[in-house]
Amino acid sequence: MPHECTNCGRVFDDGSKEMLSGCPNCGGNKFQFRPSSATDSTDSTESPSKRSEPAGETEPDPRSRPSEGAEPTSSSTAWSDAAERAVGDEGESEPTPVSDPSPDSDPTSTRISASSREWPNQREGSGEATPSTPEDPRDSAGDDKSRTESRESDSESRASDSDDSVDVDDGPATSTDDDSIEDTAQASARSEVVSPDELAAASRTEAEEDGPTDPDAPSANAPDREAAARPSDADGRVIEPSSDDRPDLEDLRAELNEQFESIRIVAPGEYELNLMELYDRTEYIISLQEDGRYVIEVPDTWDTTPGGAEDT
Amino acid sequence: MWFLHTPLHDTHREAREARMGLFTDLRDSISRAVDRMFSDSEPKRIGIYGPPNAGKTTLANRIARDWTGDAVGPESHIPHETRRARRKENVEIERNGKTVNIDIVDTPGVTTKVDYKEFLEHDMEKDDAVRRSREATEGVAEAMHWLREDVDGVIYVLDSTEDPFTQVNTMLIGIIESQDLPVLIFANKTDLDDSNVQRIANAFPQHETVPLSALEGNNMDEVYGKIAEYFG
Repeated sequence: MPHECTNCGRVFDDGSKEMLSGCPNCGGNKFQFRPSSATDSTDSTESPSKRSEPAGETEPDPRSRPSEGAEPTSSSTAWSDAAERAVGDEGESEPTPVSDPSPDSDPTSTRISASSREWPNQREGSGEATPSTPEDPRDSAGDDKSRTESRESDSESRASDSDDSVDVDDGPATSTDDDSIEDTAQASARSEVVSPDELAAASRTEAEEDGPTDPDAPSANAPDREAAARPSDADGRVIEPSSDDRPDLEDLRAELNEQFESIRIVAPGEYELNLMELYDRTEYIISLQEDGRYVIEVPDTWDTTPGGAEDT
Repeated sequence: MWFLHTPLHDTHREAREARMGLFTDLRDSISRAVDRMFSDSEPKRIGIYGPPNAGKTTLANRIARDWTGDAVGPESHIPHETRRARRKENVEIERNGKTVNIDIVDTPGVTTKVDYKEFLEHDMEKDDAVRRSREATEGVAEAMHWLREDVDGVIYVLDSTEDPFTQVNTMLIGIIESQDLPVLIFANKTDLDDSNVQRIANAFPQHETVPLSALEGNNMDEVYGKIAEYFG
């Protein structure tokens, strides 16, 4: 009984989507995670929180940390980071699911916990509802219980689970060990991004997520979609442009040049002049700036000049 | 032709012409009307256009010195010496008893490309060359603007030692023609050995080509005669 509503105690299967929009019974949005294998209640609750801590030492986290740092800076860099991260995650997650179910779940969960730590930061910016995603409730549940507990149990689990050679996550390994199918489902549930769009179309989301309950595929896809969907949620399809920022600008500039530019600054001190364009313009370019700007005299001003007066 | 720009004068002229017609023959009337037109009205503004280093400023200075005693601006063998249009006003040119009053506008050489590296050959520091390049570009923009807004006639100066078939020349002459501006083509630098006036005359057969050396003052009589004829 992996998930339990901390309010009414209702239990949800691992990977269940029912709780995505709150506990159907009481509407509560805090759940604790109790792996079916875990007899020790502490073990279960800690695993999420604990997971996030070792995650700092594992591969995914270094990646997520820089991105956290990048978050406050310009949005474009943040999103390009996110895009890179997505690529990185993809590369990482692909091989693991194929090789073995349990390692599969581990890196996935690690990623998730890592991202779940950084996401709250993002959410502050993007204003998404925290409880909407499955992992957050669990996170908060883990926080509620205690971090100290988690560390103890961490050591416990490490001691007990000798078979788990994977350093990445000892705690979750215990829980996921037992049922690998449920693992992937769990992973998918946790890693699945509940974006505002998806929330809006709740039914569609459920249908989607039911599909991904199948092994491997969702766990591999999910992180990508997290990284990709998140930025696009907040900023609107900036990922692609940010990655190839320069080419786009150059294209745009070339296009603008063709259409409007009477003087093209090839380089400082090198200019190409479109005489017809210069002639056709009613405004008069007074000075060129090194940054490519012009200072122009607008036609209205010209009308007041002696030249303009003489013409009449 | 440029009566079109001055409708008020136009009606005056017509009225006077009508009066004059009563007392004099037609030919007399027209010639007087023209005389009066140019003495009464604003001086025609004649733009001296052409590619860089064709001798525009040298010509402008020659004309200005000959008729006013002042120069228009500094001349130089370095291209784009003139980077702002300079005007010399009220230049009175007397030809065959006629007085033509014009404003001479010496314009920066028009080109489609300005590169500071061109100036480095003339012992110029890079910073100066870049600045000169920028100013020259602004000057072209200014010259093109003058051509559109403020010129009643054009003297198009060409270096007769150079091939006249260039994009700039073709384009500028085309613009001038489209404006219906009176234009004289001056084949300058006839004092140089490889000067080829005929090449210019062939290039623009639709316009009158006047050979001259503004630097040496060669053939200036014909120059002033043509100016008076075309712009007077």
